[in-house]
Amino acid sequence: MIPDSVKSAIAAKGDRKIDFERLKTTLSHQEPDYVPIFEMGIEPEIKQQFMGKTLAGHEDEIAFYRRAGYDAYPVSLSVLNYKAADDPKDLVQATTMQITTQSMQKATLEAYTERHWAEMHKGIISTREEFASYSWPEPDDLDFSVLDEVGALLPDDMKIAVVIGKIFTGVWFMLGMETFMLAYIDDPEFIDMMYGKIVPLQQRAMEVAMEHPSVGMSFHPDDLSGKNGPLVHPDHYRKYAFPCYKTMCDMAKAVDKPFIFHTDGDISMVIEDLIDMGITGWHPVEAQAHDINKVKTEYGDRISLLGNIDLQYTLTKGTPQEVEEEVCNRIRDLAPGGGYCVSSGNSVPEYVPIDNYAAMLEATFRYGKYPISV
Amino acid sequence: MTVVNEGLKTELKWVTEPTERSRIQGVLENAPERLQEMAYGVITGNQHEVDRLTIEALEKGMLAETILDEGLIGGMSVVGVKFRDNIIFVPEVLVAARAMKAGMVHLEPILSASDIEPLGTVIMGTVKGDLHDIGKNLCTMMLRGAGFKVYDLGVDTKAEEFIEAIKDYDADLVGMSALLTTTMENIGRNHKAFIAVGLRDKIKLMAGGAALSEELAKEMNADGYGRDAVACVEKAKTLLGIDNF
Repeated sequence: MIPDSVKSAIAAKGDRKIDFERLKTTLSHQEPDYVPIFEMGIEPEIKQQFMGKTLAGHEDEIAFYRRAGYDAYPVSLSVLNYKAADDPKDLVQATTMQITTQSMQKATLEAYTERHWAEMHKGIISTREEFASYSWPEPDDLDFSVLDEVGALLPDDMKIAVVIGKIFTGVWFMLGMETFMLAYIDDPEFIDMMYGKIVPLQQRAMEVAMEHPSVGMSFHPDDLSGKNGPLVHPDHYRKYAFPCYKTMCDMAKAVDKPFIFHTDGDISMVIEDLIDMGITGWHPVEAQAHDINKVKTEYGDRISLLGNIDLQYTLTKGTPQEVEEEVCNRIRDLAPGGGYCVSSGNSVPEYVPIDNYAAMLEATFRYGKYPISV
Repeated sequence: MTVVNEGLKTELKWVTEPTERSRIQGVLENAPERLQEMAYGVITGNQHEVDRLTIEALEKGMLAETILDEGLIGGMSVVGVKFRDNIIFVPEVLVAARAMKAGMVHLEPILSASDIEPLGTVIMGTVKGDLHDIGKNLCTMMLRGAGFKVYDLGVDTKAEEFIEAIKDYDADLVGMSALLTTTMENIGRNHKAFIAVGLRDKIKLMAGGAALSEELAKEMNADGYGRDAVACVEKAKTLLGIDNF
């Protein structure tokens, strides 16, 4: 059964149509017809409640994204990904490596069966020997047919938001956090070797994505910071991750497709680097780490902002009225002139009450019509 | 006395807050040259040097307590400040903790056999449903270094396990860590479980981890919140009425 809050949100959409150009217009600091919404990830439980049925496959997924009012459909093309744990009682997430050569897939799925997100100590590779014996794929081994598959299903008014990123995160996911952090000091050459494997794979994914006609934008999750600041010295990012992202930004610019970078936490120490790389926007401007209004004042003329609807309190523990108020405030303060897109402060996990999720959408539909008048 | 170790002198430049500087410099100035060298070894994460210097210091007849206070904790205090102020980051803290551990291995048997009173007894654990422990382990190490007796229950710790440990070890303080928004709720549930068995008034409850903030910790009925391992030690001392300076 579909909850009343969902029905109410759908009704509030009114004559608002799906339109990928809306997202592009906003991200280029212009006002479209409505403030867009975007999410990089929504847990299956939320989608199921929203649609009143379990979703199976891209057709169902696309139907959900359209009904909920999203103009872009996220498709992960990263070689490193994680999925929900098989056991629904398990609150943590299992990590898996989504590499599509068959032998790799089998090997990695077996290796990750009992692992959790995020692997704190030892990952699937922790020594140079394990690195050497790992069946690394070549960039040309990767299978990106999902883009054709989804592209064939997408109506013309919607585009794929391809999700790649995970350069820094990709390396430490594979090593495990502690192994990575210790090797960072003890054996930097080993870390260097890891980047040497991960970067070409992710760059190949980006190359293919940018050439694909169904892809409208790219989204790059790579958590660089905690609430108090960067996890490692910014120079590490400058040496390994940022040059790769700069190349990806250039690829995106060449075909006029927005490049959105996602990192949690306080990024004050590296935000200028990200802007210099040429990112179009930053997601999710975590409410616990940044005052988004200050970020808008300081950097809003150079990058667009997506997100900030607080996941630590408002969406998870607040009331639908509090969600409505927060969305309304963000739209009032950030949307005039474009450059802001409503989104959660990370993603929509299953523990967000459906009424709060629906309230976030409904408030966007209600108050997000240009010219903004809230 | 003065700080004679050149490396340590340079490191002290990072400690700029006057009260903090006076406290940390005071400890290190009083330290013999060997312990200053040890403190520098902790700061730079040189586990082999700290191991060697600890053995030597014990052989020379230095008290384990002095080695701990002036060498290991002296160094770790600088590490804490540098981490808080974003001068160093997680890798440097982990290798410093590893270096400190290399010294602690030699000191712990002596300290636990002696009758030195710990500052307090702390139970640490990551709450039920949560397997993240790097931050919690750093807090445990720092608390031990600061002179607390710490029993670390590990990850995925149930309320009953906390309760049993509070009773068994006659604890003064319980530190709970949560990385996930969902598991954070277990801090509040544990608070209620402690009330139900009549233990809540006996202990102070401290919370930390990526899911928490000062406000959320209060909402979970914690008595204190530490945003990092340094703040954790300071908060533990404050909650137990121990002078931080």
